[in-house]
Amino acid sequence: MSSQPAPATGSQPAPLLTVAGLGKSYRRRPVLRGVSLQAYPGQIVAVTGENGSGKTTLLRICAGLETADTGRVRRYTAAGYCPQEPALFDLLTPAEHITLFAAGRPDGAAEGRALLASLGVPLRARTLVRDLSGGARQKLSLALALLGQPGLLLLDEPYQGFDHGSYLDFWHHAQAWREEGRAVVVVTHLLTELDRADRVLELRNPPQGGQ
Amino acid sequence: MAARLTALAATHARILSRRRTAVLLLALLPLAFYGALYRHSPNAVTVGGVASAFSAGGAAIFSMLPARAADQRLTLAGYRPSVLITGRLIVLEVASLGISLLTAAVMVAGTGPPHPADVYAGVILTGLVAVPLGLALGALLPRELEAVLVLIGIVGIQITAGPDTVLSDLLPFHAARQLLDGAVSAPAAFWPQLAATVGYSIALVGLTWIAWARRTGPRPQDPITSSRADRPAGATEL
Repeated sequence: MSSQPAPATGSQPAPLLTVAGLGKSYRRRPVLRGVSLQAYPGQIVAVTGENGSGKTTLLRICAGLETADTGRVRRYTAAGYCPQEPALFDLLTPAEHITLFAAGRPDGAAEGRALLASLGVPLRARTLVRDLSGGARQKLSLALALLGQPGLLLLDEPYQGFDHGSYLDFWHHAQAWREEGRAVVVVTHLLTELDRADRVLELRNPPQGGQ
Repeated sequence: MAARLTALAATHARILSRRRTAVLLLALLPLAFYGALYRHSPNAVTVGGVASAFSAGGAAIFSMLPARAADQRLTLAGYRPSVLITGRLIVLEVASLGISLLTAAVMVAGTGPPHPADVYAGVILTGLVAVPLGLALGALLPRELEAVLVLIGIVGIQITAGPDTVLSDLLPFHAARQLLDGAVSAPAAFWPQLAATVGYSIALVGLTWIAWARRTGPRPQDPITSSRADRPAGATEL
């Protein structure tokens, strides 16, 4: 992914992510149509919508893991992506994940250990991911997305499996990331949490019928 | 790149070492084929040797397909698809070499062929090409079941098809089979078989790299435009 200078306008900070007119279909079934979004530094953008409205697809396209059929996506900074299902290696420990994902980065291992500790991931040396709780796996997945201190965070329901305390902690972390000047795009089903976001994008299911 | 390749190879070695039961079964599988035939069939060495492809190819398939989502994350973290493939290839080829040496040693001791070196060479070449074949199947096919069925088909046909048929010539273990057949009769020339196996392996690795890059690699974010861009919005900013 190439990073390009962001188009700043006047006193408005430059966006870290711009999405314009995005469209995506799977085998003629439209999932996204005409979706536009901008995420600025120091903002939390909540992406909400009913099941099948394309929230995950939108984030995967923004992360660069899928291509859109139409529209434009531009990122102006490094992005960290936390998928809905933590994509991890079951037979590795959390620390070994950090070693793998941080390979080639100076201080990456120390940063990763600090992230695991701050998110409350168990650091017992021999505990494999397959033996972790769902919440602990999700925290590890989130820590991997945060490695390298990316300016843009793309988080797809990152708190699945969290207990209530961890869930609240997540939003405290999100506020801290915002205050650090990062842009946080978070998919959420929970309408009660929308007041924590600076902007809300509600996706609707496009009409079906192969249009 | 070297740091990432080292980290990835260490990771796959670690994962393999934690699958002790699977590794044991992989080592025993070709010996089971050989053991079932060695008192009754002159083809026991050939069957046992080519059956080692089930082990090496199967290990490669199960190294690739379940890791597709994790590999996507690794590409976002900066890993190139070539590194993802090479890291696996190194570890699996080393593991395959170990299984090949064990299989060949047991078959040489059990059968006492007139050309034992060809047994070793044939089994090692089988493993050499079976790993890239498994990686390619894992990269090309959507799920483990489909990939394993295709592997069973290829290895099964290679074992059962006559050695001089066109079909047998086209399959990846033909050169290795020539050596295994020759170990108990007239030996086949080694270098042409090695060249054929290496060529097949390189082609399979290239195919794997292309397929895995398409499946896991980040997409370019250059502007995408089309006439459908002006459709009514499907999203509302609140």
